[in-house]
Amino acid sequence: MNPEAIRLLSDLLGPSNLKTALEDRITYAFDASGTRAIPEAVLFPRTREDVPEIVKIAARFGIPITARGAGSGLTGGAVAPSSGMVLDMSCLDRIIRIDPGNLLAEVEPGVVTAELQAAVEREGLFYPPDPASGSFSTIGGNIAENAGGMRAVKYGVTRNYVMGLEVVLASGEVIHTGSKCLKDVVGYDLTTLFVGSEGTLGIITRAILRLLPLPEARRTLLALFPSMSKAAETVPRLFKSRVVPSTLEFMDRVCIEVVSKYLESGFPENAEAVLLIEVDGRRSAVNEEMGEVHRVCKEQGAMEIQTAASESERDVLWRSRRSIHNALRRLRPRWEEEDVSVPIASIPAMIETMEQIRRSHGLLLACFGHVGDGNLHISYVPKDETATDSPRLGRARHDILRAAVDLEGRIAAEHGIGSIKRKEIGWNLDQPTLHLMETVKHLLDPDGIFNPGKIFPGEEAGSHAS
Amino acid sequence: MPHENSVKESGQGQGLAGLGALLLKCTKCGECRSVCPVFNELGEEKYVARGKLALVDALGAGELPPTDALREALEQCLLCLSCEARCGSGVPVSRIITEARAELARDLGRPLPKRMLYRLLASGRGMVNLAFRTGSLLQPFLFRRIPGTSGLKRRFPLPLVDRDLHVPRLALRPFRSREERFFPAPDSRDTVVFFTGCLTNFIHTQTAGSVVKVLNSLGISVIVPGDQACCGAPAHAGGDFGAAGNLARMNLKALNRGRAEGKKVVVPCASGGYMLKSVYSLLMQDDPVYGEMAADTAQRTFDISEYLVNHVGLGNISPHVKSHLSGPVTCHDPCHLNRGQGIREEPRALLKIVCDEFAEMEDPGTCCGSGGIYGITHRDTSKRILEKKIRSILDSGAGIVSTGCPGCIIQITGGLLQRGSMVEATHTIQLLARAMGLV
Repeated sequence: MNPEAIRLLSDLLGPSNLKTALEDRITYAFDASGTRAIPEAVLFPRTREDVPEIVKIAARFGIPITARGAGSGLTGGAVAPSSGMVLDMSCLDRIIRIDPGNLLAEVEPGVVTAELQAAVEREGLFYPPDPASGSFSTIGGNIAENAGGMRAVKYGVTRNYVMGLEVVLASGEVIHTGSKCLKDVVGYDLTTLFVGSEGTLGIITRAILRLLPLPEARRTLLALFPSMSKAAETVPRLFKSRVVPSTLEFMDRVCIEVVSKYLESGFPENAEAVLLIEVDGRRSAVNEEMGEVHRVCKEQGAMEIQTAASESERDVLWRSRRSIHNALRRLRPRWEEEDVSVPIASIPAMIETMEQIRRSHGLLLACFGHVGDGNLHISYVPKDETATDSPRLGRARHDILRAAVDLEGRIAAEHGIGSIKRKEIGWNLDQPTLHLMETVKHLLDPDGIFNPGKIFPGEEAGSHAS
Repeated sequence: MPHENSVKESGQGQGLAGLGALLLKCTKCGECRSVCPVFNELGEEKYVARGKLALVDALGAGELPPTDALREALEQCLLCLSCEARCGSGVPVSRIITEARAELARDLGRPLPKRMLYRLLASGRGMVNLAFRTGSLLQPFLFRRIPGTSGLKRRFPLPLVDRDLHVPRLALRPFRSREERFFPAPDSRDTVVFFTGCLTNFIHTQTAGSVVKVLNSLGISVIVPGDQACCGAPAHAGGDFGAAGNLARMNLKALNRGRAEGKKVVVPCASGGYMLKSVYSLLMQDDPVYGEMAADTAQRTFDISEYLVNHVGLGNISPHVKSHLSGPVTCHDPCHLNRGQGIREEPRALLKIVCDEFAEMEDPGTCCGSGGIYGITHRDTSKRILEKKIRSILDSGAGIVSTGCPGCIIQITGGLLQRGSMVEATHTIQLLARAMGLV
């Protein structure tokens, strides 16, 4: 990296907030995707005002800059190219204000999602987006990746809760999108443009987030089904009976097997699918809705239904869903993971196709996820554990993504495109659409300094480490 | 899982080569960020498990040379096991960190004070007792007593001792003597072996006395082997597996000889118990004689609270409780008891029979920042971590904080004194002894 740029950045941030030692750079070379590239420097801005100044220096010297929250993303979005620098935004972690009167919160990007949730809940408020990484991922990262989560079926994803943003552009200018107003049609909706832009258009330094009143009550139910199709058909039946659960998670037979083994508490052997269903709202409505959920599950041929009467019983029901990743990892340390979504009515067809892929490629394939919003997580490894069979995995990956696209689904649901799905982005976006996106990127970041190597097909940003 | 098995087959001290499969388990998800007390204060990736594992990985791959900066990153770990308990992939972080520390010591050597400390502790009883006697003679010259407490403050600038550091007072005489001691109980229904640990032997001798008195009153005879030594936790944490292994052999011999052979071992020290239960087996895995002895001893080792609740039974203890402690009592869970041994309920069960009011503090299992010698070598971070613990204790409204680790007692007492608080930090067994009218 240019020594002059280093000197300027060091003067700006203070030497302790600019790290160039290999020991530091190695620890910022990865996210949870398995991609890896050692950046040239790691920067720790201590105030929001540092960010535009950093960007100006990066722009002047043409140094790529990758903003990063907790680095928990699964698609390489937080991995800087080896010629670039990482901006660790998790230092900017102030909750600026919680505003119960306006049902909103203003935060810096480094606030950990769960900490924001706990803080607003203390005020009787609710920030619904809940990615599985919520206990360590940051709001800024959630916004940049438009993170989803368990409650999307009823409450939507991160995008639905971002009212306004402060963003530093590649020129170093600071813009403000959106407002504190729920209704706002002043100009283009730039907020939505930046949400999910994976750090390629600008650096988020502040966000206005929408809050809801904390639901008075919630009830949880776990139902076991003798077939996946029966479980999948339960979803439209629930909607038909006017119940919109806050959570509607499913696990397939492979998940059931590994989780039972992991938790040493078995589900019935002939269970083929599990649904974990939660409803929330007013206590009276919740009880009524839970009754309805129970009835529908029974009608659909559920073999066993467990309900939680207390928070600790709820934890027990959630334990199996939360344990899937752990259970899979205990079986094999590394799994390929795909995150696709299909229109909700196509879930049964998608699951059926996964069964075919499992068989035809000789895979151990586990399928679970958010059946209520059409988001499936598919983890797979070769069945033979000694096989290092990357061509076969590549073919399986191709078939999984293709299957989603064939059902009018998307190749990425809540993890983003990052560097690892760039080659397939054209499967979802036609050429003119993709071209417009590239034009927008070029307009906002003409020199390509913001998180290069992400979203669009092109040069590799990092290498796959695993 | 062939990888894992091949690693399990060898003991600790095999170098980085044996860590490959263990490192592969880390998926770099970042979950460890949510629980690491050190990362919570310092906020950089090299201070959290996933960052440290990336460094160890790079060291093993030859991508990163052994440097002091690397060593410092790896030293910034309390071995509190928080990340390990949270990790979905089951990465044995503490094992990897200690192995990497050993590797770096091989390459870079060890700082003299640490080398001396590990040598001293590993040299066995004679030298340690001599050091203790020297220390207890010098202490009045170097430190002055803090009125109204058992603490000391330094008189002159001393290396590694802050002006405001609370230094525990060495007892006038250690609890253990050269020869085996036997404390028979009238109508004895069981006989246990008492593994004291260093701090209980040299500083908290009252706690040691309480262990014996409580057990004797409950009809349990106590053997205190004379030739037991330091449990080896400091040397093991520092990656000195040679010293830790020697201590393990000494202790295993002491705990399995003569009258002690085959008996249950009780430990009032979280780290000592953790070493006996989990680490000795790993250290001795390649040793044909001591490997089996370590595994067998681990099965017979119990924390004092665990032994009392699960082997004596609350129903047999309650009738001996003469008076209840007044005011609310809270409980701090030591890392090596809580996560290291999975013991949380037993101390609470005991406290609930001796006090009228139990007040749970927020996050009772977060580390107090002591971490063996981390509190001395990384004083500033340790103080910041301790500050949070002290706040939780004070917020609980309790007048007494009970715990099962002498190291935590020293650390927490220091933090409370710093805040001018009158809350007392003490061992659970002390409170039981008090309620039973034994002290």
